[in-house]
Amino acid sequence: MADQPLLRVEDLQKSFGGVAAVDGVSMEVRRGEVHAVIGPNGAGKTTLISLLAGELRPDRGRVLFDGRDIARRPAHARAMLGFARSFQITSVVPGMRVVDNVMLAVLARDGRSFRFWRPARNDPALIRPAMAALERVGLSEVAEERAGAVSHGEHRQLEIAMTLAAEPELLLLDEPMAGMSADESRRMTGILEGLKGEKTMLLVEHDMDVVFALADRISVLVSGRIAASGAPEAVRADEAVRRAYLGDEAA
Amino acid sequence: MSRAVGWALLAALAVGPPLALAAGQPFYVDILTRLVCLAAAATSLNLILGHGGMISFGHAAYIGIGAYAVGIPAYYEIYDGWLHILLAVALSALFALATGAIALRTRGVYFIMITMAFAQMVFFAVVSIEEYGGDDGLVIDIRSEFPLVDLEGSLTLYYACFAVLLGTLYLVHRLVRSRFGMVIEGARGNERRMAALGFAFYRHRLAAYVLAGALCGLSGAMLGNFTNFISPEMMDWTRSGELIFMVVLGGTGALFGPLMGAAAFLLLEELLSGWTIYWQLPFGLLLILVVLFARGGLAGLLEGRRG
Amino acid sequence: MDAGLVAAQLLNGLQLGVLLFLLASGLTLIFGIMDFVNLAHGSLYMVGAYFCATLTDATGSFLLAVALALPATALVGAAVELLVVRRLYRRDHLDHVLATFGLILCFDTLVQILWGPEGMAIRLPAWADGQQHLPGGLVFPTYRLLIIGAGLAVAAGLYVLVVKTKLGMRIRAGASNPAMAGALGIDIGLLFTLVFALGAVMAGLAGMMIAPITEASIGMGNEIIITAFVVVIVGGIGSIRGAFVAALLIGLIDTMGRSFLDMGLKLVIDVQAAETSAPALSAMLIYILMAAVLAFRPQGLFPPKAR
Repeated sequence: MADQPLLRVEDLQKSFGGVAAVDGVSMEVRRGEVHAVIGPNGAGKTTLISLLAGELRPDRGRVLFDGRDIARRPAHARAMLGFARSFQITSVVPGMRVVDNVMLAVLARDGRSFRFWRPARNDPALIRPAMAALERVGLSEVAEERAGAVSHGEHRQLEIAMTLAAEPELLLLDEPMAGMSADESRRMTGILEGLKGEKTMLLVEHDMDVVFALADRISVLVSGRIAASGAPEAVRADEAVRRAYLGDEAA
Repeated sequence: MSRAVGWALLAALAVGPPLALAAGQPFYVDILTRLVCLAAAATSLNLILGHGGMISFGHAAYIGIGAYAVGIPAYYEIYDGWLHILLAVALSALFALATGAIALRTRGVYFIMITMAFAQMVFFAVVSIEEYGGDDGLVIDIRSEFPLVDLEGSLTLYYACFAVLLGTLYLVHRLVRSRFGMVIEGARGNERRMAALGFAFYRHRLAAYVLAGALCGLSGAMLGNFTNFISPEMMDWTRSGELIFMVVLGGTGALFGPLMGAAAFLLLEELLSGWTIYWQLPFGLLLILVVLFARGGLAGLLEGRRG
Repeated sequence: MDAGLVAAQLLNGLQLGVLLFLLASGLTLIFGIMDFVNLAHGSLYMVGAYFCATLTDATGSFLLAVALALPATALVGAAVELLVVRRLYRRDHLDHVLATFGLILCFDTLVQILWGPEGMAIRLPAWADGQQHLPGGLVFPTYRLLIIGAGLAVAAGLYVLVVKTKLGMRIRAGASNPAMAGALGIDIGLLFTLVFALGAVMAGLAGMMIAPITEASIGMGNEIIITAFVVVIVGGIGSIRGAFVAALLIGLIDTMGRSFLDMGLKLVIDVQAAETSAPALSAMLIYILMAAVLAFRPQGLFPPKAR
């Protein structure tokens, strides 16, 4: 089973009011690779990732995770199978501390959340993995701060820490660099590079430098369809892609 | 700061009634008994409203269920206190389970109106049962009987109610700090994120909703014992509104918030109603002003926040 | 079972239904467009009734009084929107319910100050006060038939207003996308005030129409408003069509249940049990209906379109 792709998408389709946002997408993410999905604005990237995360139901098609069709399972059930999604718009629990947010992710993985009596915030089974994940993304120093009070770049790092703490098999990264300064973006690229080879990642990202630095393979989404898929050099050389996408970026 | 005020208030409640009796003012024991019962009910509401973000506008129904769980057996001359308490807690929990299972599938405005409607359902059901007094209510001739303690003594009754308040505070304190508490607090802060993490938090919310209902049923049983008289009016939807006001006045999510809110509420009621028979007008205006300008409640003001 | 009695109760149910529609249509518009929970909607119902009672005394004409009381109620609605409600649109639902709960206390007390604690009766003109002989030998009060007719006419008028006129187009644009409507040059602030005043007028009209039967009294809106909430929930928030269907359904079920449920029960259980349980069960009927609808359609019969 090892050579079976971790994620396989077959003929996925989703329309809004008669307009197909995702129009028959098929693709594969292999174990251990960083697979980037790129495409111009409005190509359907966010719809695709919402379909994969289970926040939208497809009109048609299959999503096979580890060989099982999960296209119609809800978001929380997918998370239990080993999906972890980071959000394009920062999505943390703002009223809780940074470390609490990560502890929630650990707790989600642990599953034993119907415990009513023992204090959770000094439970080593939660706090140790949470602090380890914060360490990995360089956030140990702000662990005690309220999540709503830290900087934008730190929010994005917290996102990654939460995704990591859930110990997922597949990381769905929805524009992790969105809205970051050049400095923050470099730090984030370093963090993701450190995870490469260890985690399978599906990365949706605008920043071409980041994509070409990190991705093992790239799929190009244009008007809801995969226009090309392959190694970075092959995609960069693909004439159709240059015309449809990289062309106007270069111009 | 708000913690300190809360502890001071608890200390005052612990020693206040004997002092009031010694000073020849038994009237204050009555006020404090009512305060302690309502504070326990508001604390149970705070578990779901303040910590869980569930705006239940039907919490007074549990006060009514708890009170009738004392009154109806007493009507049949069954005075066993443990049975009363068992009935109050179990029936409240059952009602919370049945209505919460439906209400918690909805969000926002729907949730508010549905909890309100289900509470009104109990209200009308009780109004229409003439056997138990209908609109006019029911007199409880003898209070719940327990071995060793006699609730007919006003001080004993007070300390029984005070014990219920302490128990409720401690239980809520433990609950919100547990793993379970983290989940309902996280779901209040960001539902979408919690679902993406893999929490099916509907079940946690339902459990919190049932616990809050059961706790409130207990305080309702104490309130019924205190008033010696129960009527549907105890669970009118405006009573639920008052409980919410107590929680918000004190500060949502703070452990002692509902206690401070209930104290401030009753104090205001006493002061204003002594001043004018139209006391509800300044009371209503004050409520609007608190919402517009002091959203953090008393706990917030004490911490220097303005909401 | 007497066919005449059934027909009369059907008409009574229809009459309750149109009143509920007048209340619920305003509520559902305000929910749908401003996402605002207005508990004080029932206060506008009461204010309309009191205005109408005073003006009937002053002018000697019920119709003239209604004609004058409608704009007066609209002004009260607009004032409430401008002074309080407007500041709360960006707040959460908890703030909405608390502030409008405060408004209810203010309105109830103000009415008590201005009109006294006693209710006010309205004398009907002779032409509206008699009985009508309907086909099939049925005799039914003229005024109740007038309520049904007027209510249905207002429902039709509201439909034309929302679907056919420019204002209606703006209302619908504001409901589906406030930001877009603002970009199109629609004055959202003015639109919201107008919608709120429109809701006030319809609630006030309902109060004016019921007052000759029940008299205008303090807190008269606080019970029926919950039933109107049930109508809004069952119909689907924001849907006028849903409010119409649900209002008639609930008016009929409530009236028929109270009249005939005991007879139905006697067929399946023994007479004694039926007589004790029927009143409570019929009081709960519409809430059970609500729960059943929600179990299958959590967003009501006519759910709002996805935005």
